[in-house]
Amino acid sequence: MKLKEMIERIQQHHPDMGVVEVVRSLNDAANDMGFRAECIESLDQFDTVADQRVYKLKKHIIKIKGVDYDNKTIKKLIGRPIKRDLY
Amino acid sequence: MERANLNLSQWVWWTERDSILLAYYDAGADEFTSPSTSGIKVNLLYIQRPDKFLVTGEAPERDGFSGTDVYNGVALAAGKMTEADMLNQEIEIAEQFHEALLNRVIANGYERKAETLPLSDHFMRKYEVGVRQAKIYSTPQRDGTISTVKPLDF
Repeated sequence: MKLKEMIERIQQHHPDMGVVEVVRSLNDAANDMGFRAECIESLDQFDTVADQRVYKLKKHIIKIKGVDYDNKTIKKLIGRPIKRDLY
Repeated sequence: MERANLNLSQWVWWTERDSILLAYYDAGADEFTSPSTSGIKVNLLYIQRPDKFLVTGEAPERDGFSGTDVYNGVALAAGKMTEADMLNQEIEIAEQFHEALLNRVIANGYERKAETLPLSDHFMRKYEVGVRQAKIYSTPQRDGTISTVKPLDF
């Protein structure tokens, strides 16, 4: 359903709601559904940097499902090493 | 031994401080070492937030969009949403759950007056059903695999 149709159907119930208000509310609803239903899966790739262990995650990532290192799946460590690495 | 449950030398990952950490566990030396080489490809398979609808003139929050890239099914202009295409956007959540999104916005609208609160509850319940169905839909990854969904009270 395109945004135009969504706005029209919402305004049938709430004719006083403006387009921007509807868009913001739809974004809140989509964010909530995406987070709770985990319905959008994606794949990203990045390159390692020598001697760097920590790589910042982008804001849109909710949960990591799997990691490949050099095209081979690697395991998730339960917990973390006793010695914490800052970089 | 630092990791009693880890007895094979291998690459591992974990998350901490909003970051992903990569290290090689050497079972012989019982220590973790960071990647020593630049340019090794790392693939991340992840669950993401849906891309937001943009109003005219807004740019996507998420990195990686510029010029005339396609965002929510429409082409941007100079990396921003155009007035001509704003209403043609389509969110990437599956079509059958779009009505649930509408139900939540309609419920929010009915929350604004005390006399329409029962209507708000009605549409919010419909939204919650949609969320549960979306969760079930996403669990078997559309391949038809029979899977057990642990009941959760949303």
